[in-house]
Amino acid sequence: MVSSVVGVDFMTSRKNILSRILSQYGISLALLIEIILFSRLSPFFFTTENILNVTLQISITAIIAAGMTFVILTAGIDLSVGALVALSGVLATSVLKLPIPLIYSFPLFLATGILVGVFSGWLSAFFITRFNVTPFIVTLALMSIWRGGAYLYTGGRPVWGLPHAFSMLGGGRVAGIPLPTLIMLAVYAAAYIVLQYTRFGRHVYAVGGNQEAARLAGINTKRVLRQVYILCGVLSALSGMLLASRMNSGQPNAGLMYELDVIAAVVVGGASLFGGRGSIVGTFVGAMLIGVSRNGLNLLNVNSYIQQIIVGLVILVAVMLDQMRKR
Amino acid sequence: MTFNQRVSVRIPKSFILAVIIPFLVLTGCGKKETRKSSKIIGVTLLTRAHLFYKDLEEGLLSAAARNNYELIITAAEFDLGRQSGQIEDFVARRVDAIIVCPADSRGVGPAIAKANQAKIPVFTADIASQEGEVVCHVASDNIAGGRQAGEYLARTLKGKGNIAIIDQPTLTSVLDRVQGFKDAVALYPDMRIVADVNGEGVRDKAMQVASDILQAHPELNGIFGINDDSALGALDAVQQFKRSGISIVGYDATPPAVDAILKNTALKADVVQYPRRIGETTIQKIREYFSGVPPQKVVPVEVGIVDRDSLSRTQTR
Amino acid sequence: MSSSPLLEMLHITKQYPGVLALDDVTFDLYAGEVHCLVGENGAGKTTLIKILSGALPKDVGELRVNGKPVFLHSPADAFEAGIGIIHQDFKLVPELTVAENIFLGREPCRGRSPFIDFEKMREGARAVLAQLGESLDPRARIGTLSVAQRQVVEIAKSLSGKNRILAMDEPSAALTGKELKNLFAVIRRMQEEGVGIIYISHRIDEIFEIGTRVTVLRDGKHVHTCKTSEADRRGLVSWMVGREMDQEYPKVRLQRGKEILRLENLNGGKLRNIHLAVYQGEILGLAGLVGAGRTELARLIFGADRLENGRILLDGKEIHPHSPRDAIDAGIGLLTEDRNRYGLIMEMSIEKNITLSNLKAVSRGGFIQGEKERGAAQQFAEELRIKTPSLDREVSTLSGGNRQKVVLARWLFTRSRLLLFDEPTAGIDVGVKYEIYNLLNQLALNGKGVVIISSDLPELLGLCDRIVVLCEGRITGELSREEATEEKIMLLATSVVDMRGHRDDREA
Repeated sequence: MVSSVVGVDFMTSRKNILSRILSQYGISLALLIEIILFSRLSPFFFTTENILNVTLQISITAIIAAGMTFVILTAGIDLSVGALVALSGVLATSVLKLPIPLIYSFPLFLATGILVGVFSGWLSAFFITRFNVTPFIVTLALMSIWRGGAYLYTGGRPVWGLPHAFSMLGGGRVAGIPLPTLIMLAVYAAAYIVLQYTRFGRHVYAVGGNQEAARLAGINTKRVLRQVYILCGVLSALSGMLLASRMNSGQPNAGLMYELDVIAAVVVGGASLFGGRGSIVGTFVGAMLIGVSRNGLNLLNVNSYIQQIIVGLVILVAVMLDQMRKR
Repeated sequence: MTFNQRVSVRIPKSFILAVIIPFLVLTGCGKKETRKSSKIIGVTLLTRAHLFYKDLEEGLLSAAARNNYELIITAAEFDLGRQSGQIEDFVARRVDAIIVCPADSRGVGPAIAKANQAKIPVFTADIASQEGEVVCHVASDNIAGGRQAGEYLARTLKGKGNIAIIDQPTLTSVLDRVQGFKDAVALYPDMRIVADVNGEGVRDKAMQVASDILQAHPELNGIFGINDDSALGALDAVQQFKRSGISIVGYDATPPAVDAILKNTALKADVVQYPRRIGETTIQKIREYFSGVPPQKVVPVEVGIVDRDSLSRTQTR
Repeated sequence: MSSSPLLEMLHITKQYPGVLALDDVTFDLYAGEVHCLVGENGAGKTTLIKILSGALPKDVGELRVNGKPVFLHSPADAFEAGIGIIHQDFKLVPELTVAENIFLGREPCRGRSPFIDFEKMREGARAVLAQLGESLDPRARIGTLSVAQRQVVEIAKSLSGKNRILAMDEPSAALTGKELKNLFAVIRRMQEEGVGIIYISHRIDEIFEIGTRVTVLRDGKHVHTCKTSEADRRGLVSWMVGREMDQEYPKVRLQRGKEILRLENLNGGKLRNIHLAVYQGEILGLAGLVGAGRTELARLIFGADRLENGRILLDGKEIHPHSPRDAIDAGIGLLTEDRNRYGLIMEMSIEKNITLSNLKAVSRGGFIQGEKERGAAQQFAEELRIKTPSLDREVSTLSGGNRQKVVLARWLFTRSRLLLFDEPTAGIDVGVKYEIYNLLNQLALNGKGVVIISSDLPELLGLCDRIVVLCEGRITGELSREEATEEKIMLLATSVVDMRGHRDDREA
């Protein structure tokens, strides 16, 4: 009686091919179907320029979704991300208004934005771990506070009149690929490595699977939660700064309702809101699915009321496919 | 089940104080600014986040100051429930008049009805209410504004080309603008509206949908943004995809838009509302009402259009 | 017994992916008998009960109640057919009252209105409880009751219909001495009422005490059915494991070595003035009633709960474990009670669960080295004979005994000097129990400090060199292997209770 193979899953070979494909690929398949559909319906969809356009469009929410994946893996949630996009955007861009050359103000801009993200994440984790308030409530409160803060700080007006060179960050291209797209890919590559191959990543899964068991296994669960919320905050701030650069202004009303798109991407990507299950690749596909839906419907000039309904249906179908996979 | 799980939450006293003290101080400060006002007027704006409403608010404030009215200004931030609550609060406080910029033209009806019951006169500014008894509605002539935008674009494009609208079809005022715009464009048989997408009235979303439209229509000539965030979002997209030969017309002439027009970008012109004047006019109508002169039901406030020429003229002047 | 059977399960077969869980099993139950169902974990007992409860469809076979075929597609169907199930983990709502729980989902209403008739419900609850010889207040909230009382409620709940068939899955797992006697009294009363009872337990003594007949399952197959009066302990065990067992508790006697752990005047939680020493080469047992503070003591040493004052010395050096991490780094391991709740991360693979506490050993600079991790997991999985097709499988796919082995592997891998085992064999079948006992001996042999907490007194008596008894947070006595008996332990375990008069362990 050695632990080695006892028997192969011979049941699976009996299942029909369709359900096997479904079980293996779930939402990736949905994405593929969607891409084929839109390619046939619009001649402008499957073009290099539009593919780059889609990746550019989703980059902002997808970067946040990478951070949100970590949070949701720990059975948490962060509703403050959209407001944080606005707050980090307006605070960071206001640094660029200082009468110093961009070479000096740009690092300061980055530092300010990231600091805002770190602070927000730290504060969320502080209330969650110290006072045992549920993440939903803590981050709901912060969402309101940061949004109000962004309006208050700017008096409701955008921060504008920024140096033109600043728009290179969000608008620039390297080898023809938009910079935000490249940053997004880098973030996902890093997140994948961290989740799959580092102790921290393993701890994130463990804390989400069973927090008390993780603690008793010697994991500093509070530290893991702190790191996770800070990571999500920093990535939201990074998105906020990229978005500000793309608009060459800090908009206090930027990122409205982003939290819902972001959470949808993570959940469509197969993560469980109860923690412990999910993957970064899934989140990426989830973000693509939602982004491609929006883009394709816009290309087809579908009425915006109908668009909302279709995007909702896409989310439902994707989650349903994922449930069938788990059966 | 055999051990007692102790959840020890120790809250430092200093923390509690740090939380409580600001509240005490704030409420203390809020206590009665004893200044005699002849009338108290409750205001609920759609939002304080838009420049337009900042200007409208300033118009209200300056006119109120001249008339020695006290204003209680609140904002719905697009939340109908919150706005209804604010109106109910005004009713409970028995203010002398209420100014509403509805978050939803129809949904605000019941709240206005409550004010009607309490015999408090209700005025609407910028956005009309479909229900309830309103003394007077003061607003820019949105249909005329849309028409002006359409005519300007037709002139610039010499009466032909493909046009997209960055829309926000959940607001009546915007529906009016788009209606006026479409009416004007319809007079030119060679002009086609090829896309009408929802940018939700904010710059980041407008930028995203505009990017998509640029992909779908390589031969696009004109874009109408239903407000300046929409127009500027479209401008961001046009610049990022380095598209030329596109003329954008915006709405509201906020400072960033004016700046973009002056810098000779794709944003060519803006319909200019006079939100300050809307605010001032509303107060003026309230004064008329108090003095016994019933104001007319709808008071349109004129709009204009500005482009680089007209702006540089006023700048140099 | 001469009449026709109450329940017949004929030629039941159930296939899971990769496993034949039940293979042509036939089982019957007569009115007024207690039919015990035994077998190692994975033998198919739980699957059989699940099929009976309507929670799981059978692949092949037939079910008959009172001679008539029944088809169970849901738990509601089973209830309708007069079958009541008491699961291992109670399905009670702690916020609701006894009466509300008993009538959950079929509350009596006033006429045809949607309003609950509370008076009728309380009366009904009182009647069922009286039938069981219990005088619980139907208005008491479940959360305020002891484990034993909850069990009675659970039984009442499953009886409040017209159920004549009752299946109990390990009802005794969480009970101690007196509570168990009480449970048996309730069971006997139901027997007299003509209820047929299926009783699953790992404690063989209980089967001989309460059972009328016993059926043994092994690897999904029916092995043997006989009257308990015709069976003996040895025979039963060998049917279960499929081979002869020479002794139930293997014991290796060693020379007591140097002191590993010393506790001086420890206070924290309910624990008061704890003095204790653990030596190399011995197995120390902690005995006491549920709620006596045994688990709390282990958690205190492990840094899981807050220590108020006192000194903990490991190898003569004082340590200050503020968290489990501190304790692990100092060389202490705790195998928690209730492995599903406090031990395992169910969604993670077997391999990842094994390495969880000692990831440092298989990683470099924060990065986990896949091959090293696989190697370590493989080594301990083989050492402990964890039965699984692949270490990549989720730990939730394993049976109870194998899950426990995964947790054991984790603590072996941390190479702790002192290991605390809290109920290491709870809900585990005889075969795996035996392996665990051997492992504990092996650890002692290797010079580790070994402390066992167990509610199973024969187990403690069979394994330990020394037994320390706790009661109400205090140490009330210490017995050497030679002097220890069940009576002496129970006396010490209840000594404070006697001094202060009767008290329930409600806070547990």
